[in-house]
Amino acid sequence: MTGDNSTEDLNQRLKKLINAAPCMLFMKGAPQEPRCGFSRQIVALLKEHSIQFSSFDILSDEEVRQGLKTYSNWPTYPQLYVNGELVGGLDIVKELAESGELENTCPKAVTLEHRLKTVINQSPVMLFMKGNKEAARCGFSRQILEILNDVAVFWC
Amino acid sequence: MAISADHIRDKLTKELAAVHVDVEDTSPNRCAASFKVLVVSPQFEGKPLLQRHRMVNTCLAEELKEIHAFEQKTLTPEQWEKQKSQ
Repeated sequence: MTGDNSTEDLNQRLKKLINAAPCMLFMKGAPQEPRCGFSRQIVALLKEHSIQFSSFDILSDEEVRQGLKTYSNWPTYPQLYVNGELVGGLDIVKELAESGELENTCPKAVTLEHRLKTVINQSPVMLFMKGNKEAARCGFSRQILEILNDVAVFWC
Repeated sequence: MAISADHIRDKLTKELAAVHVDVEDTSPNRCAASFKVLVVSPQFEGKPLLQRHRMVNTCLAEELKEIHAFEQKTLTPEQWEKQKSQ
């Protein structure tokens, strides 16, 4: 009975870990300090293609290290997951990179500059304020809202 | 019993109807059994990478328990011919 419970607990834990980020890498060591050649290579590939990922050091947790192999029926590390699904190991990531499919498979790192550009251009008129239209959270923001409403600038 | 490249080659050929198998023993560079394999099989036709690799993993399930580092490349006969001509 306890055996079943602990396996179920482990599986729940693994499922949570796999889904901890849109792109999760289970590797030996950390991205800044990989502890195996294959892990080092996969980190380099992901960085080269501006793939945003989180990682888990399987050397730090023996339970996850062995459990994940069984859970995903995949015998080796590193293991890359996207949106909770196994993409594969270094070999597969290498081939995806070569065929140009890696960017489509993984979420790309969005630079701050890109984010700012997108949000600034969301509307012809964009107000960056404290609080929102219904509830301004500072005096200046409230005043500017009143001015804009008076002038009846169309905005949403 | 130490796993040999021949053993791996035979198994892959037999179980995956491979038309070509290259097995490179890369052990000397690492501290435990390591292999790099190229498997060419019509059974890979129409199958995504992950599935192909799983087929190889299943075939070598017992061996992989002892192999420390494993690299694999899976091609269909057509892909292999194309690669050879490049």
